[in-house]
Amino acid sequence: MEPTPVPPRSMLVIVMGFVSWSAAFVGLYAINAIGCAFAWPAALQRWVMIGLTLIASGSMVVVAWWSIGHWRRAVKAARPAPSLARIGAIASVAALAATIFVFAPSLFVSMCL
Amino acid sequence: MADPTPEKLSPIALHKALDRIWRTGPGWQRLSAVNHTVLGKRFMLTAFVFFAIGGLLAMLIRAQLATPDSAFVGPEIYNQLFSMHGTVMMFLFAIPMLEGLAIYLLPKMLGARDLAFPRLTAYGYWCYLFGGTIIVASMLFGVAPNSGWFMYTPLSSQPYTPGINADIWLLGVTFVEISAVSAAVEITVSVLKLRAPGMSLDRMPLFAWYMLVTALMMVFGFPPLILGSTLLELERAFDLPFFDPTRGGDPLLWQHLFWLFGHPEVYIIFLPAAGVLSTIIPVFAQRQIVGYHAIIAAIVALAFLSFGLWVHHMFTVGIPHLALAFFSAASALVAIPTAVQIFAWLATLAHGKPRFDIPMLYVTGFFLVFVIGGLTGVMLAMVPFDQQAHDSYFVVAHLHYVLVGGFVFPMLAAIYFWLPHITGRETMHRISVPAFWLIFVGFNLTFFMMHLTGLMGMPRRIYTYPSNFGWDWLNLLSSVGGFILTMGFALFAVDMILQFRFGRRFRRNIWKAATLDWAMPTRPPSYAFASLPRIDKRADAIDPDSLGAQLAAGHGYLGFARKGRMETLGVDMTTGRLEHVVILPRPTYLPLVSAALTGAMVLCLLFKLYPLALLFALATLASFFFWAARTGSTADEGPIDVGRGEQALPDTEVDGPTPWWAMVFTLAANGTLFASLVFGALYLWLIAPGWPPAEIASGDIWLVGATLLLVVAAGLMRWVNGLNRSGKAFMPVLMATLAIDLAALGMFSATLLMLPDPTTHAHIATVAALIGYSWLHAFGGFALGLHAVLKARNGYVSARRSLSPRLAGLWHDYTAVTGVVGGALVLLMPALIGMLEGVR
Repeated sequence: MEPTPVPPRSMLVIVMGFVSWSAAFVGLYAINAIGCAFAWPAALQRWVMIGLTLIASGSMVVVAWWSIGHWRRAVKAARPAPSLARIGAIASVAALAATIFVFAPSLFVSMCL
Repeated sequence: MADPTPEKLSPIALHKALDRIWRTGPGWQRLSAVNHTVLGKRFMLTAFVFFAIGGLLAMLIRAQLATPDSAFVGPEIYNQLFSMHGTVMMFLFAIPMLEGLAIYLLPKMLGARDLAFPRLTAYGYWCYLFGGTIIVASMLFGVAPNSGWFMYTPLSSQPYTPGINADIWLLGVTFVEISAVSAAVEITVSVLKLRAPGMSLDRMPLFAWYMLVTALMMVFGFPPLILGSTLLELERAFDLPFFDPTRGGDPLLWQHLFWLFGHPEVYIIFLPAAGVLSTIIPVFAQRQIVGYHAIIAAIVALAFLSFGLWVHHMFTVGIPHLALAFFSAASALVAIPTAVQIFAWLATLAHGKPRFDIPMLYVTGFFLVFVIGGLTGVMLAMVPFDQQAHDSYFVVAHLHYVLVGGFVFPMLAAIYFWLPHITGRETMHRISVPAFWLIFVGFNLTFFMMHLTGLMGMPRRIYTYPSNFGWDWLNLLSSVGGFILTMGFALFAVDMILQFRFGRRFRRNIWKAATLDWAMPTRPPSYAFASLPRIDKRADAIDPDSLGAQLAAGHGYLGFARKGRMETLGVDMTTGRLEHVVILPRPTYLPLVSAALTGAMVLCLLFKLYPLALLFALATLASFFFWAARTGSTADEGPIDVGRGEQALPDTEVDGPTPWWAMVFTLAANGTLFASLVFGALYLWLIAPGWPPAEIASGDIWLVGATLLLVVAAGLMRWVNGLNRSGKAFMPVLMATLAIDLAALGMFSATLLMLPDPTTHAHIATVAALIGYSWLHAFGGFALGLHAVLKARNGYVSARRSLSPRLAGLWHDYTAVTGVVGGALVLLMPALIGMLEGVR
């Protein structure tokens, strides 16, 4: 039997996690650069960066949670291409791990030169 | 009404009929080739010629450094040697080689007869050949690029590199990059759309996944370099000070733009090679790959992470500490998805029944060399270590272990694996084995020593050194190793020639592989498959022997020759559901003509003949109009028979035809270039010395008016497409859109003319660049609108055949969005500059 067509956007589940990671990366890098260029007080910078890291990590938890649920639902409903949902879930969990690992220095590393 | 089913032919008659349609003619007609098999081979052969040239340059470098205080070549020639070696190997060998392999293999692995845009393949090849020739020929005149392969400013700026050396790099490499981006768009669309029916994404062979991810990385990774090269050439030619710190520019902007391209580039080179390994290893392990899904997730992770580590090339330039930590962590983290793949390959071998053959020698060589390169990469990801080893020979050793281990060894494995496919002859083992050992021993002798010289403090790019630093014997050994390596490659070349000439012929599937590329006669016929398969399981677990015989007998899809048309099938991107019939263009000299005109434009720019360059640019654009003049159809055909009792619409009558997707990905690349330009403008504002500027370019009412016109034009194009969809007359609205485009062009021109002198400060230069970008896109919108008018006048447009106006609509939408963003940034600049008061 011919599978039902699936809109191209369904492929985005594979990259959703790392697109979010990239957005967080650009955001944190830019805010750090702006804070240093405008000589924000150290405490303010620290709390801004910690806040952004927490927002990024929280968002990534949501993305990973949704991706895993999407995979489970895809398997249960025998939707077309459940493997894509599985790959998406793996990639989203990896993106969550990358978020925590890469942005953790916001907690303790000195901000500027 | 649908055409009747074409007549069924015997296998021999089918072969003859299809070959008449698909083959490239003899003699001069070879210049009109658009066939992927022909062009893939040309790409690879040309890349090997450049590889030999790059290798000879390396020999000269090692001859110079073999002994201290050497007078073999002077510093000026030495600068050209190392700059050209890096440039040739990165831009003229590695990228085109992987493109060539993908062009040759992808349609065959995906069960298609060709790539989506054969003429674009040909145009890309000619651009590569002409651009590469310009770069290499510059050596004969002693004006080769001499600022290193990454062309750091201010060394490469006009005051420090007068003459045309740097211009040759900037223009020649950009020319070659056009080829690379066009190949990336073509590969992306081909993998997503031109597969055998039933081949859903999760049934694709891993090589196709790797090439899809690589091509998308090229789409997003190359534009920052194209922008950087354009800005630097504008600075050199017209004194716009983007990188001049005395006038509000910043040399570090070049480093950011270059490495935004440059680091993903390393993975762009590695991933196709990893795709080769993921294809070859299961064949010799005699089992399916372990961890198919984990590997796909790993390459997606690798693709993204590789964009988040460009600053690890800039750890010593003065970046805020926290940002250093982000980039350091990301640089270390990238080792994990790489390791996932390596462990998957090892597990495949461990769980299989490995058998030996020449490709496996190179696979083993890859494991040893690449793992060492990866480990030194993790060392260099650590900021304190990098600050010690930066710009030393340790880095030279690392990058060669990564690139030769991660690309050259797998490519040599690929050549031994697929050369029988190309030649129809078996490998001859007698010379292959000693050639491998010479290459392996020579490589390690050459480059392992460089770790040591680097740790002993030897900086890269010095043309000679005194004999009292203890570097002498290590350098001598490196040079001896280099010559052993060259002997290995010479033997490899002899081996190739002997195989072509004397290798024993074989029938089919020499390695007992399980992918579609072996389900065809070898050498492959011009049409690849006499009929196209239906795939009902993973496409790396098929039986090419039985399937190949069925396809050759015409039992698959399109097992006939219809109206002399070159036909292949398009599918739904995700599920692989049969969607449409793609009718490909016949051989033509147009790509050669367009590439020659583009080359003439580049040469005119090089010699500063700007009016003539403009003329050739317009001629190139006009030649593209000829490409499109007869594509499409002048009547609605409706569903047509595709064999196996099924029917599908022609490409021209569906919602998502291949050119539509090509435009989407082209605009994605273009959007990355625009985003890089916005980044550059904001970066200079935030970081560069010499701000705030004495004079501020604020834009004015003309800019606001021009931007509004872009929005109006985009709205009108949407109206045009709505009218066309409902079968109503749209020509008056289309003509009005063209008029609005022209008015926008006029207003942007007025805005540019009223700007203060852009040579005085980088702020005004970036404003001019942003407005110039919108000007060019308004012009592009006019050209595409005009094209839609011509196509409609000639009967190629109907409610169902709506491609031309839809492409123009997509372009206008993009132009409006970037115009609004660019215009808003220009209008906001005075306020942003005001924020600098008291801070800088």
